[in-house]
Amino acid sequence: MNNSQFPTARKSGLVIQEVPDEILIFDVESNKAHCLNLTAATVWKSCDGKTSIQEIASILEKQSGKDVSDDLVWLAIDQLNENSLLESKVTTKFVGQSRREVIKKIGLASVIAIPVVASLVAPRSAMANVSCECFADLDCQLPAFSTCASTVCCDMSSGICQPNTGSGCTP
Amino acid sequence: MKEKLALREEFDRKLVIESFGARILLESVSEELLQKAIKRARKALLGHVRIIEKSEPIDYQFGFGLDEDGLCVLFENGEKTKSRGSEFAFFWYFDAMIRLRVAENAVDRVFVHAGVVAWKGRAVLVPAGSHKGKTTLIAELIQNGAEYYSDEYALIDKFGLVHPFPRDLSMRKVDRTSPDSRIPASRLGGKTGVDPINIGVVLFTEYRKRARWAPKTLTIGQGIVETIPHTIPVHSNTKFSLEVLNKAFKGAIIAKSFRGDAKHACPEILAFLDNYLN
Repeated sequence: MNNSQFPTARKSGLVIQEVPDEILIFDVESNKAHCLNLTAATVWKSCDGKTSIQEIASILEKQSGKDVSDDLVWLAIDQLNENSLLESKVTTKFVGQSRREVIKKIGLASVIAIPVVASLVAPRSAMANVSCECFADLDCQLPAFSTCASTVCCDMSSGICQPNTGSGCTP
Repeated sequence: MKEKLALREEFDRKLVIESFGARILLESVSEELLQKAIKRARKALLGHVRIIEKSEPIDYQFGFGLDEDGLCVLFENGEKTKSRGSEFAFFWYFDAMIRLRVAENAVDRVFVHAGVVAWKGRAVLVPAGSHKGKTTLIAELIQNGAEYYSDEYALIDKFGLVHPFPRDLSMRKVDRTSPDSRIPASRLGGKTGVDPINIGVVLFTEYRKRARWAPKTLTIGQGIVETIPHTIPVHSNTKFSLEVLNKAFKGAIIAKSFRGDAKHACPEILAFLDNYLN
């Protein structure tokens, strides 16, 4: 069985939440949150390792009542693949083409929504969400102690808390 | 070498506090430090603290030691932290940390790093990181008649309702010549909300020089994805966090835009709120 033709949705290490017309997926391994629109969600849910790309296109046709090309399914597969939401990597059908070109091509021909997977990385540490607690310039200069707890750090030269970019205070 | 710190074994004063279902062990080398820590915890969590008899299981532990110079040393989960300093600075840091650890381990609330006001009886949630102008906008909204709910964390229950967590607003220095100050909402002419309320609008907005308020609406799913980086228990309680956000955002308008100066953006934002919250 050609894996590319019969993709399997990844299920392990994911927390899934269905919202109206969308699916939310939080990947606990990569700390990424994904939002799949209805088209992408339908494709992802149909990826059971037994259903072919063509059959997934038919499922979308039934759902929307409109004609759906295989390319539209491939566009979804491509994004699911890129975001590690499939069991194994699938070779893209659009080698040598940018996604923009593909979307333009499919978008003009498609009467249903283009599949979209919107993603954001969550900070690994909750420390990133601590508000700067400095009360005054002097707080930053207290001996060997930073009153700022997280993404902000104390610039000893200016005595002002500034965002911490990971490599110290920003200039 | 001044590394002779109070060892964990020397923490002979211990007690467990519970806040929003999170159980925190506080242990100290002295009763005085322990009592100060409890007092600070109550202040940090706006009184949502009770001392409990049963000590197990524990979600997190803080230890308070002293070094040879008499400086306070903080331990977290048994590990010595870099935090060492005068009592003032020490407890200032602890104040932020205990809120964070309770936020991470709360069982009946999802803490989202966000400012919250109420407008026409519905919550307006402004999730954002530090230094994004969140407090400035919240203060401006309060001055224009919004009811104050929170400057730091939105506390959302399992039904999706937002509860007040009205710490005094932490206004940053602008000119770098005057200290930051903590301002109660009443000083801004505002009232503080009391009741849990539904979310009406979620705004993803941050200050950008010369930016104009030009909101684009997001779907619920997109809104939740944008909120996840600000959701404290997203790692410790992922499923509950997503379920709660899903309930909370149902029926809410979710919008995203940069904004300019809060004073100038506020009328436009209020017009936007008026348009959706009747």
